[in-house]
Amino acid sequence: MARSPNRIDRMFQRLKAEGRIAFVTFTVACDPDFAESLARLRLLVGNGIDLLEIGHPYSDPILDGATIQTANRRALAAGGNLSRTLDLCAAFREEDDTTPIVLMGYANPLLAMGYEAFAARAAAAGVDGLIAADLPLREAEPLLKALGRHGLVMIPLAAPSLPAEDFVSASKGVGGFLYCIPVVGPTGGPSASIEAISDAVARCRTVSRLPVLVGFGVKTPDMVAAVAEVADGVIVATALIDRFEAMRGQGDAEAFRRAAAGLVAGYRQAVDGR
Amino acid sequence: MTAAGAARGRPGRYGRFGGQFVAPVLLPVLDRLEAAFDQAWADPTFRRTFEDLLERFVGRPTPVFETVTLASANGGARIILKRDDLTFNGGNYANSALGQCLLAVRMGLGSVVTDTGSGQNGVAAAAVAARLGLSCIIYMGSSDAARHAATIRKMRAFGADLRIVEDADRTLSAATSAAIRHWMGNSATTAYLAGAPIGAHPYPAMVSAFQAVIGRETRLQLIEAGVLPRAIVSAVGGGSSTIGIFSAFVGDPQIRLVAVEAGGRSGGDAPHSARLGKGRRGIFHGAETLVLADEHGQILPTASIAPGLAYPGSAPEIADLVERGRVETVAVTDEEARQAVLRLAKSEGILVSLEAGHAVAAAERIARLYDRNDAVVVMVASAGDKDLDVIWPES
Repeated sequence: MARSPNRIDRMFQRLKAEGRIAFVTFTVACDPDFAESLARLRLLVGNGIDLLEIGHPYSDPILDGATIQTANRRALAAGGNLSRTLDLCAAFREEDDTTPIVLMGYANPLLAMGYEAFAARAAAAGVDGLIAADLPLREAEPLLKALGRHGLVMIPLAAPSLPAEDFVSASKGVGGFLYCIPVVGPTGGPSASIEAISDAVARCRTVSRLPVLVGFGVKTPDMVAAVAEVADGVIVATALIDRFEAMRGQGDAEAFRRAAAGLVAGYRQAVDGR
Repeated sequence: MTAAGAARGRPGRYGRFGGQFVAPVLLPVLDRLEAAFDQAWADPTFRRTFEDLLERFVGRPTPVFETVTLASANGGARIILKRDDLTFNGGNYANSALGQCLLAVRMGLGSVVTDTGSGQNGVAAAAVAARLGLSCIIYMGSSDAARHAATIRKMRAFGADLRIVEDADRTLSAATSAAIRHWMGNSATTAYLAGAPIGAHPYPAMVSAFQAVIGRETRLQLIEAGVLPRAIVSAVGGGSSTIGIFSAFVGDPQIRLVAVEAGGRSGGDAPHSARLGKGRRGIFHGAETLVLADEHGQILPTASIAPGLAYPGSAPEIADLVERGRVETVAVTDEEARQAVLRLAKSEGILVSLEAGHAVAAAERIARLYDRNDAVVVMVASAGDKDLDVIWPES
């Protein structure tokens, strides 16, 4: 399969031309198992998700709140790991060569696979970027070199308290967008005010030309709509995973598919301001 | 100075280990802490307050004390105990709890949060926080908590807010993750207290500096007694007492430094906690170090009769000393440790913790290689009261 390293950049160009902002969600690979996870990726994209953040399961997801910790545990129990996550991405790419994929996870599985081997395999599987929760830029030099060699980028996490040099870099291995976290604390925690979000995004724009996406604590369609006014994209993760889990127990696969599709489409409308 | 034994090359690096592998939101917090610690450590007033409280609140210096019976039966070397079990609260953990709480006060923070396995670090933190007027939150795994009811009462007596963690393996590792999550959400008001020289820079350097008092005392006490030891033996959980006592002897190549790990139940593939001897290079709880993990990088569960030793990561400074061949590692099983605690209690009238029992068992083994003119020093990091229900469950 041909590698397209610039799916993220192309997505932002397309959205800009259409006057829209990006709607991104996060899902843990192999939660609850490989097949359902693959079906869910397709369902998400089919209902308005522009970019997929795919978590590679880890035993100690320290940046994450209870919802995503539990999702990681379900995925591990189903045999999930970094290697299977790359298999999942490759399977998704068989039908979709457009939607950007960003892996999100923790450093130890990357180190265990080896940064060079990881970057090579990820590129071959059609991955475009990486978010590493516990691998800040100041520690990422060897990984950035490997990513750069294979046309992948690391997406920096930008918190309001963080000095610019900790999320802005000219390295070839850094790019895609800035993941703006307007609150401090694990995922699934309290939300920031729209004023705080607006300030955080404005600060990102003064120090970087990368598009700015807001995640962490973005939960309701109303909040999504408000964030869409100020950012280049919105990331909804915990709120969707919680709802998916609640809906899973309530009916057969088809009922779940319909309900999940409706839920994602509802958020999409909020993003688009309708 | 930027802390005892600190990194060669990049700050916070010990050879290829160490670093700051944390969520980016914590970087400014760590940078502030590093600056505050460097300033405090260079400030004679801070050092005086620390040393004064070590003496009068923690109960230092602790004695070195020679056992009468342990080695003589086999004609081996003398066995000398460094008695940190005799501190007032929390064994050797009191040293770094005191240093870090004083630093929190100096930084204007009103709360501390920490984690505990055997309860020792929790007791130390709770007591010092009470003395210094800080509120104290302690996370403890439910599996550890179930075995240490009296220790829990002690932490609560000092006014600590104890939170039981029903997560992952329900031991120290889960408690540490929970405490770090709490800290991430509250770093503007709350200091995270590391029980051990683990985690992101500057924690390893800071805890090592606060614990170095153990090594300084021991060295002086041995010189006064005219003893040149063959080996210093210490059990390694997080590594606070180990780095504390080793720090003063690293430059003496003729003295063996032996780190004792928990071998768990003996035999085959039983879970253990021997990450220095059997771990692999990994990134865990903020640092690159030796870790118990599978080939996919997933952290493995640990096991030990001594909860303070059951931790999948290791201190980066100790990992480096092991990799450079300066520190040897040995493993001691649950039963060997338990028997050593019993022997010491019955023959010497000294009740040490199961953690220290691992070191005693290893020291007995090593002492047999030498004769009566030689000495082996054992780090006794904590007392055995907390383990009575584990050692004598029938009573």
